[in-house]
Amino acid sequence: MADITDKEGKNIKISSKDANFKEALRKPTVMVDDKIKAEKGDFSVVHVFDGKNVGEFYESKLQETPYPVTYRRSIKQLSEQYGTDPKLGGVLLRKDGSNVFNFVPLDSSKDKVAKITVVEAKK
Amino acid sequence: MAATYQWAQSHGATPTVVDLGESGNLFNFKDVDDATAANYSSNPIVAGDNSYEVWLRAHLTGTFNTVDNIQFWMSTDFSPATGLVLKWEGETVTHVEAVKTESTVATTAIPTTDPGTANVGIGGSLGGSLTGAGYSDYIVLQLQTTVAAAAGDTSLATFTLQYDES
Repeated sequence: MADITDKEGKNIKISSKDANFKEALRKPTVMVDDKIKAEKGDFSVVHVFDGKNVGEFYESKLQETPYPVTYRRSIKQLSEQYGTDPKLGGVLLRKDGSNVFNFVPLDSSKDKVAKITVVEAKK
Repeated sequence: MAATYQWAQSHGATPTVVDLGESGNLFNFKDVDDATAANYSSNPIVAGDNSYEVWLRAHLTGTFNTVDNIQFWMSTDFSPATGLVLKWEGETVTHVEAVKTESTVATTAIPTTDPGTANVGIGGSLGGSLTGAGYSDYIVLQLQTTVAAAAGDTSLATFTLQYDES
């Protein structure tokens, strides 16, 4: 189990059935564009939700032709899907070269094993 | 204004895309890859064999902001369903010609209740939204039978597709 602590000191853990995601995200900083190798393929971090605003969403235009498709999900929607607390945030991953997204929610935990700081990429 | 919904079936190698309509007996499982419900009795499935795969998509037209969260399930099973198994897949982006051998695409038992969350993709993602007229990803169905299947017409099975529109 990869238990982590965010920058504000809350005890949180990465909730994912995929051990590769947990291991890859178990590091001091998680930023947009980070690369993650998982059993399902290579993924990139496309958004980091810090959980401060449960209405925060990630949106990306997936294709314009032959018909327009957009990906749009809020941390609230993603957390509801996983049954976790949106206020604890999470990391949204996209499989490289595809439109497959994978959300890795953060969840509450009492035990602390590793530390992590979740930050947005500065561009 | 609102979105207009139709089931669309793709068949053949190219493929040919046919809008089937919104509801009713729009297709049957058969021993032929076409897009009409009419000729099922002249293309019967021998007990123990499989139907040709049926490649469907949700086709949305009209005026809307977004359509997403597509959920698909079999709301009424065959009765009796002895010897009849329906397999499916709802996240296939690229069409391939339907086969009657055991499908390597439709490999999962079809849900028989509302799955609660999206199980049909749009643009290759379960989180995808149509923002203009377009299609869902493919819903691939195959009826697989055993020798225990009763001869003659089956009952009608009902499939439900639900989506959010704004």
